[in-house]
Amino acid sequence: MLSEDRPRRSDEVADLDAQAKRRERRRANVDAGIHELERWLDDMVAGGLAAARQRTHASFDEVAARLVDAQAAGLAGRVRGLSSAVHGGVGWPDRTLAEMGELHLLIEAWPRIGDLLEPLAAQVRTQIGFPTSRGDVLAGPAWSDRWDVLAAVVVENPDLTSRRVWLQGRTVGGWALLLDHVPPGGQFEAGAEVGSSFEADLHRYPGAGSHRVLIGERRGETEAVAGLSGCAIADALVGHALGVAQNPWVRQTPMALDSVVPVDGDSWVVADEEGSALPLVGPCWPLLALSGGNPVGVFGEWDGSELLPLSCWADGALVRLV
Amino acid sequence: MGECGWDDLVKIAVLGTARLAARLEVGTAGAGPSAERGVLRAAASQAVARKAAREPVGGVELPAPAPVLDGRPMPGDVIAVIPRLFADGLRPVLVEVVERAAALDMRWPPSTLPDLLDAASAGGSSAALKVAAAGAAGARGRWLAHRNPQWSWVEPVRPGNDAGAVWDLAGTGDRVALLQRLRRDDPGAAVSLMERTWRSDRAAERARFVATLRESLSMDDEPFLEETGLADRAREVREATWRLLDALPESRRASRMAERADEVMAVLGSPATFEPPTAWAGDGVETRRGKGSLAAGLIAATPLDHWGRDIPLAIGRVEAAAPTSDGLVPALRRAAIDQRRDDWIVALLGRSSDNRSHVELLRAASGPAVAAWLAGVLTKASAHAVPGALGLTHAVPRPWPAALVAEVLRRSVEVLTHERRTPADLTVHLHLVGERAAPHLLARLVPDLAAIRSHDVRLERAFRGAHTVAALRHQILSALEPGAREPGAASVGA
Repeated sequence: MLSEDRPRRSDEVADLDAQAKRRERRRANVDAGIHELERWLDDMVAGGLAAARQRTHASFDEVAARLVDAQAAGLAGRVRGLSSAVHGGVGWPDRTLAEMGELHLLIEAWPRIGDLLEPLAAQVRTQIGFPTSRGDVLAGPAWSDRWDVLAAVVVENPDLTSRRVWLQGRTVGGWALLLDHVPPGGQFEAGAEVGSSFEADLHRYPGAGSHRVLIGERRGETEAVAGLSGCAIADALVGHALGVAQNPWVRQTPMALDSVVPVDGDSWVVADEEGSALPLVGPCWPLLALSGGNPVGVFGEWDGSELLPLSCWADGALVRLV
Repeated sequence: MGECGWDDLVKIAVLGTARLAARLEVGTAGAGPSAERGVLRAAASQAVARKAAREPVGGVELPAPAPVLDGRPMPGDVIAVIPRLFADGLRPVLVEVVERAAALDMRWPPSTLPDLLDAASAGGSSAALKVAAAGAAGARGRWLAHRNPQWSWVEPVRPGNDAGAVWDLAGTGDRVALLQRLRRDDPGAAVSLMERTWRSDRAAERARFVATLRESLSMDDEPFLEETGLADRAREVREATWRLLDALPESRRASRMAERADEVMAVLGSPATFEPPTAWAGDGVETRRGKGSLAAGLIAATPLDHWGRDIPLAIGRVEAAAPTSDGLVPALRRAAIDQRRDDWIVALLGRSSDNRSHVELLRAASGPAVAAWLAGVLTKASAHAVPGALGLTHAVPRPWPAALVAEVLRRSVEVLTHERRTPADLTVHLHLVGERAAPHLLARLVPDLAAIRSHDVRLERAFRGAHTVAALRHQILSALEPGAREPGAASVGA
């Protein structure tokens, strides 16, 4: 940011001008895109989800494509997700309505974004698909700690492969997320292997409740993760609720559970010693084998109804489950 | 809409507000009273609330925990490589590693137990893998296996449970699995179980049960086979019994067959016909045949030692008994295969010319005997006979001794360097070098293969598979047993 009392050079002025024009254009595009989306969504509710289920994936893709043109790639992704939900299996009406509700929340938030506190406004922009430059993120304040790499999940889509890597701060605490995308068949950058631990400055992306970071300066030797710092099920759920209060659109809450027993059956769960349990995305035989009916540490992603187990701390070692 | 619960909201959404417009009460929050907006707003707030407020499930019963992990831990760098062993084409290496780890009392890492049990349960998987996996499963593996019906073969009867009770309630498939499992650890117990329900079981079942005695077959099984199997009213059961008794040269049936063979061979030279007594049929002799075929059938079931210790002389005598028919040496081959006699197999290998009999003989012999024979064949083979000889390598089980490894490498490099076209399956046979070379040879073999590959493009491609699998085996086996020596070699400082 330029200070008020330094005289501006003409090329800097031209730059700022161009930037402001780009922002304006994006705002206008997103505005138009959201208006169109709003009408489309209203029509879907009027006609009913049963009728929407008869529509083709291609018709949803068209709407998504127009949102991409409107510079709202985040909303485009949600429309594609809506297509999967409405064409899905058991429980599709509930899932679809939930997705539509969250999408509508963004549609309502956009015109009022000026009234929102900045962190929440930043989250709305992120959800819509406004990009944040890596440079801006790295220029932000450093979040220093020793970071344990607890888990990595790779998600393959037809046109893109994404990877989420979860880091846990050892002393100051807290969760950090590395999020990367490569074209199908591409390679992800090395340097954050599951089970490794290193001293580093992390820099956070803007947005209330966002965990996303970039790694800045690293220091010292990389070691092995020495343990999993978890908590009880009830406490983890409170943490999740607080996260949703900050970011209503959160998809995965990182959850480290201290001492739980995976239980198999018609539905799989992880249970604490009082028999209170969270549903698990199962079956997860490696987790059951690692536990052998004994309490173990589990790290996973909680989406509000199921825990996706990603890593397990058992017998003094961190083991990947995916 | 504020009063409307989630389930009702979903119902409205599914039907669509246009249809229900007349009956809907319009939403309250904010501007814009349209029914669609009302539904969407309620969906928004309720979806977020539901996402945030999920309660844990209560009253879950915890499973009885497994016993403490037994065995020694596997080295970390081996654990890291284990997932590679589940790739297609590496099953034999997986079996080798599992067997080695079990022999060293090293516990299989729990997180990969499910992969191991799945691989062993898979349709086309080898019996050797099932045996190895059941051995390496350990206490944790057995605990795990009990929780998945697909893995019940790991421990069909839990310790403390009565095998007889399990047998009585089990279906045929489970009974066969139980017998197979018992034959490995307690063969006699398997026979006792079969006898429990023998009289009421169906013929097809009895035949399947008898077939399980092939595993760990010994003279201890002779009384059951002679007294119960041979006396069975169903032919398929008697057939299964004959096949097993063919492999027991000390059995009573075998000595009966020897006497009959002498009897028939004595009259082979004469033009008279021979009428075998009908009682012979009870032992599986095909009585409605000419003398030559009759003799062949009897010789195939006669203990080989009956012909004397001097094998070439014995083969000559048998051949001479029927100079016009060459059907008698194949009968000796049958006997050598069934009785698993390395000395006879090697002698007969030299006398057969077609690959199929070669393979059958090789498969029945122990590794060292046939490895030496094949190495000799390769040394003497002309260049165009080498691919055919290399084709026999798949019948030679691991571990391959140095002589065979050296000859396979030497002759195949020769063929690849001097012949213009690469024989079709050469790479497949070369893969076996890497897969089956004795572990103590790998430290030299891996760099040797690297050197061969660096010579030219054809060699690079042809030996790539062998090099990769040899390197993987070396990495794992040397990490499992650092400082292991060649069997029989003196240890340093001894």
